[in-house]
Amino acid sequence: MAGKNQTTASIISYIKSVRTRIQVNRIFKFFMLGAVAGMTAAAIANGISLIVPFFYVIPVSIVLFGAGCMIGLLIPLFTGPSLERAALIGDSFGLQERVTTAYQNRNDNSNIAMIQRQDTVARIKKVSLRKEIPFRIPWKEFLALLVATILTVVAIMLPSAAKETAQNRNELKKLIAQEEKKMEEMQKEIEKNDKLTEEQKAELNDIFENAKKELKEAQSKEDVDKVEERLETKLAQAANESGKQAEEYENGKQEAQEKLNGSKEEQQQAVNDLQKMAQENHDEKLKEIADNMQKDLDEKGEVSEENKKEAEEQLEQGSQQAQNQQQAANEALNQTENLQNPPSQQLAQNQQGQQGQQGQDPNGQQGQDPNGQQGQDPNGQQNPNGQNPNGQNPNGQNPNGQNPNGQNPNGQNPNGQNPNGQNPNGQNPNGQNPNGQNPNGQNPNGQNPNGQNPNGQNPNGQNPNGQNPNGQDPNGQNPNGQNPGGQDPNGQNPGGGQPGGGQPGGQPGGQPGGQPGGSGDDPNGSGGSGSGGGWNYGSDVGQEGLYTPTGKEQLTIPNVGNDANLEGKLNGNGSGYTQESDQSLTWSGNRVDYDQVIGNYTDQAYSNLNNSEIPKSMQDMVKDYFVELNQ
Amino acid sequence: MEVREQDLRTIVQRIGMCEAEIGKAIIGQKDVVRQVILALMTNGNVLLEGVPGLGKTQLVKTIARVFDIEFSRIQFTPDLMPADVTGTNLIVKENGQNVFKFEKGPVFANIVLADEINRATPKTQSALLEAMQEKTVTVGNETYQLPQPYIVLATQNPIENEGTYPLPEAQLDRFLFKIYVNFPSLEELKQIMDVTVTNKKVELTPIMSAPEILFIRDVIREIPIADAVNEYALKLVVATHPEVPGAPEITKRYISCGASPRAAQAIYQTSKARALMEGRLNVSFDDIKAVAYPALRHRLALNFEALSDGMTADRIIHGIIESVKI
Repeated sequence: MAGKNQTTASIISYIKSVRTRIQVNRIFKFFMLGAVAGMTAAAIANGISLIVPFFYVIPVSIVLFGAGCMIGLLIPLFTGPSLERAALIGDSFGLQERVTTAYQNRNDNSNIAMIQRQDTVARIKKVSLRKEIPFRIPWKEFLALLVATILTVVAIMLPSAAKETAQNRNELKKLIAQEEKKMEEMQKEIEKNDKLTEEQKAELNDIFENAKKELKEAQSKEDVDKVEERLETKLAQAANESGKQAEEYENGKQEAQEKLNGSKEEQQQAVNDLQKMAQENHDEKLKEIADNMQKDLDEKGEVSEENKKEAEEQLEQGSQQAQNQQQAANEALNQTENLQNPPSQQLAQNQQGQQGQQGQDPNGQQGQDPNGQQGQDPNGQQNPNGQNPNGQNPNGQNPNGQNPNGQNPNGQNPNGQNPNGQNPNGQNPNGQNPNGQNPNGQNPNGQNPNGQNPNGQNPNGQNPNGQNPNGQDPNGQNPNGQNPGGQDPNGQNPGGGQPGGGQPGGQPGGQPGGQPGGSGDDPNGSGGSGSGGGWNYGSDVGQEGLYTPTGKEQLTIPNVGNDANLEGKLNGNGSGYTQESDQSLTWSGNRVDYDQVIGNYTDQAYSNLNNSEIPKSMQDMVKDYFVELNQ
Repeated sequence: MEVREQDLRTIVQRIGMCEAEIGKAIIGQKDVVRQVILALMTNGNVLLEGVPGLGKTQLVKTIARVFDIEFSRIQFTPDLMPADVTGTNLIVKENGQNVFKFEKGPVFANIVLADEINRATPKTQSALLEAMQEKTVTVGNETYQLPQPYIVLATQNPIENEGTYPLPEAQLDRFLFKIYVNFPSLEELKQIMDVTVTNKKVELTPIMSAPEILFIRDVIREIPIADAVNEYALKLVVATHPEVPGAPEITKRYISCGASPRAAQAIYQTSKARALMEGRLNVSFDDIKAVAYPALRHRLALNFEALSDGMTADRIIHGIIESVKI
């Protein structure tokens, strides 16, 4: 029995040795085959990526190669030969099926079976498995792997347009995701805002949802910018409408207070007004109060004090709600505008703004140059037209309409906004078209009937960022405090440089504010000592106050600013010239009729066009603008 | 059955000695001799096909002498009667009375040479074929057992087909082997001349006896065969049938009817015998391949295309072996 076990064990050991050696060779071979297949697939993928944009081709290649190796390793592990098969292979070394027969009959105890096993054991001792089944290195597969690797590396290293396209698409995708995330955060903030009603929240959320939908369809960064532009416009519209509504309520409240204390006819009129207001604003509560008032009038001949009080409270509440919505819209608008300026650009703009706060505009215009000399352009030279040797016009524009550092007179960022203050999409920063009209069709001054611009600009034409729609205040002065001809509306000429435009400094929109105006010949001595300015794009929290025309110009500055440049420091490097005047259109708040200035404004503009080197297409644009203004 | 290792060695040795002894009288024809011995050891009958004068009768005589078994020869002619083969009852006077006494025919021997079996009528052929298959002879109402071991070696002349009665397939199937006896080579012919036309006498010594042959037959049945080898043998037989799905192309093209299960039995038994004669105690694939030719060549019914293409049974069997994978 022991002998039988020993012979059986010997035979099984032989079979297992055969199987192990076969398996090792199979593992070598299949692993190499898997690696070759994986690397070939990677080479194909990289080859395709030279023609078809495929951003993740390298990670995919790594996965393909890894998968090929893994599959090549797993196949032999799971598909190895059985012991019976290994026995047959072992018999092929001259044993003539002795091993197979012996293994099959290993449990047969007959004499002949035992003798057969003994005969088998004697024979297998003469077989050298190292010689019969040597470990083979699959050289062919190795060479194939080498070739595939070289092809893959070459395909990776070769540059192609498709790769660039893939890169761009990926960046666009990331940008869109980033934008969406930020929009969602803004939506969350709106949701958290307890001061807004559900309808107001829904209205604002709709704006963001539409923007997100448009974002999903964006095919380029320009499309993304356009989406943001439209979002900004819609938010500005929403803020404007809310502002109008708030004002309407406020006015309504005042009128109601007056009329309800008057005669019966006046009270009736007040009630009618309230009913109309309730209908227009879908205010059910106000309608109910108005109906009650009407009942009082019908029954008692006068409105009860209780109803008067209720009406007043409802109007106050309506006004407050509208203001809340306006504030929320403005906040969202501010955050949206921040989206347009990545930190690097914003930093550069802030730095430029800081220069402006110190009395220097990015161009060194407005009477101060970086060298601190008065009446000199940045190059210290002046020409009769107010142009510096660089060809900058009095507006501080270089011949191509940009400031020396690439900014246009509107103080817009150097990313290519045109001299009209239009952004690359052809819109002014606040969405005004080149004719100076804002998207709401407001007057060319960029003011709405209430004196506000669609994006909440004050009557000075400044947007929350402190920029004028066309970079100019309603008096036609450019952000540098210069009028197009280099003169201010009071007849200031470029003088020895660039006339001080007397722009109200401290424009939070990043206007190169704080630039002292009135340098050179300033007939009226007008000029502004600006304060604030720089390229601040408004505070995160501040909101514009309502504007009520009082006959004088008023400047609105955001209540809270988080930028130091809001304080409007003068340039410390050189002396500055400032001159205060209470006759300044923008400083003292005097209002001049439009018709009085448009003619002179137009003349000066045309004169400057003829003397400047603005491209023809831009000249045509300017001319068209003035044509429309004069219509 | 308990088989000792010594017995096995003795068997292998003695079979070798028998071959050598036969080789003294039969020059060349090693394969023929081995195959006849295989048939003898597996209780089978052999159909020898060869032109006259190749020593077929001499071979049978020599085998009978070496194995010390009784030999008889029957020359088949068209007028041969069955009784001439099997024997008949004769009226004899015994103790003053006329009685029937069965007179045994030439078929009653250990090894019978049926010369030119295709010349006899089918009726006479069938008398012999009963003896081959059943190992008995029936005459009248009585059945007589034939001696053991019993083997019939029938011969056919491949040239003369005029006036012959070719054995039908059903009868051919009863032969274990069909062995071609080929013309000897020049060297073999020289040796044949040296043995037969000189005064040299070849003395043959009996090596084995009938009981030993019977014992060897029992031992051969004990030889193990692995499943893989067994399956291979069966695959070969199945591959001779053109109607089976997956049959080789050569089968479908040239064979009209394949081998019967008797072919599988023949291959099975003779491969074991061959393994033992090779000194192995297990059947190998080579054994199967070696015995496949004599076991199958007379069991394949070739179609007209084979005849027109000059395709022989051996070539077809070779094609089948090549196509069937182990």
